Amino acid sequence: MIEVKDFSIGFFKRELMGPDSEPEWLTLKNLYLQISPGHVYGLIGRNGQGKTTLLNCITGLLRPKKKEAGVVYIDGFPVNASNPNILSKFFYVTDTIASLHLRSDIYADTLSHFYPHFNKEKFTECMELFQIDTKQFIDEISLGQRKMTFLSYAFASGVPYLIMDEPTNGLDITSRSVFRKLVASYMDQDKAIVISTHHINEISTLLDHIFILNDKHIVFDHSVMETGCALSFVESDNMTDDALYSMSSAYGKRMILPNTNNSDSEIDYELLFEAVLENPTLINAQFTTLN
Amino acid sequence: MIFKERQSIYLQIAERIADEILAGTYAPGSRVPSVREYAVMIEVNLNTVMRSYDTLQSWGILDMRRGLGYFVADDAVNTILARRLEAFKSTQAAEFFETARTLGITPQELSELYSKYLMH
Repeated sequence: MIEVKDFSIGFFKRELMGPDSEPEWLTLKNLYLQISPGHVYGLIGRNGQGKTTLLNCITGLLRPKKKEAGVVYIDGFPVNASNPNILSKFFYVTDTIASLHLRSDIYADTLSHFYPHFNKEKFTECMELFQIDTKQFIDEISLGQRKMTFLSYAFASGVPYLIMDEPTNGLDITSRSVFRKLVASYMDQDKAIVISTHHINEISTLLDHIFILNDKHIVFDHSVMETGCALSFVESDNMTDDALYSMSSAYGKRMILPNTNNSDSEIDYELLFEAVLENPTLINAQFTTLN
Repeated sequence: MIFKERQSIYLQIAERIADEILAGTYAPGSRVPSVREYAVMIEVNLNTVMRSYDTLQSWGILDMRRGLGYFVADDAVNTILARRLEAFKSTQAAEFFETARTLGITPQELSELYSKYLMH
């Protein structure tokens, strides 16, 4: 399990404020979250809300200076320790990909030393699905192909925690479908996958848990099943008084209603996202009555 | 006021598998793809497909055989048709009748329209 407990991080503007200054603004504040094996988590949020910062913190790339700012634990060990046992538990596909002057199959051999369950055949199979020649140099292929190369390393790594920042950026339509198949097949009871995206509709069917990050906080943290039990997503030609949120559509109104009649509707992620940004308290209150 | 609602993904998948059983893709008594195979094929979360299979099992459409996987129940086709008939009566027919009523169509006219439709 990955546990983020009462975690805050911000950036000093030393050149303006001097070395002992308080953070001028915080990127994340008093954040709590848990990531358990057996689930695929979607991290959504508008641009600049700190999704990448949060993933950088989870993977230990970014650490708060003060201990009071909180710790991220992976299977009970602080990620700050940077010890190889912890590092081999996760693979992080960043949004911007390193440009190495190396053949991708040779870099796979290097990675296999760091990840005990790395599977070279799986890597070759992923690269074939993405239709990329593994004999090419990583810095001589397109940005999208480089992204797919690192996704292939990720799916071959065999790690319990797969963390991906905007994984579908730069992928064409066919490759996005390949990506979704690879996520679906990677998943099992011992593995957790975290996907950050602002293109929620592309990956929504893969998720079983949703985090929404806004204004320094996780403002929504519920499973897809809970969300379906608490809320109803309907489209109507008319407005109703008990709508929690509504948005105009071609047909009339798209609405979120409290799920009072045990309906089982498909989640409208776009609507949910806008509703949570507008009034997180009202939306979250619908979950407290659940058993 | 008219409300439209799309069914939850796990139910859409359950109905899709039921459609495939009706179409003969999976015959009664035969094994259906594993949860994982099906999840990868349709690019959906494993737990969601698991929920669809559980639901189909609770409806008596799939049987789980420990260690072997899921099989189409012998009586699956009849079970699906009975469920669809119930859904038709309670939902689709209700909407259809509501439209007929607003348009002022009499039961006799409706009956004639249906008879005509069946002739084609």
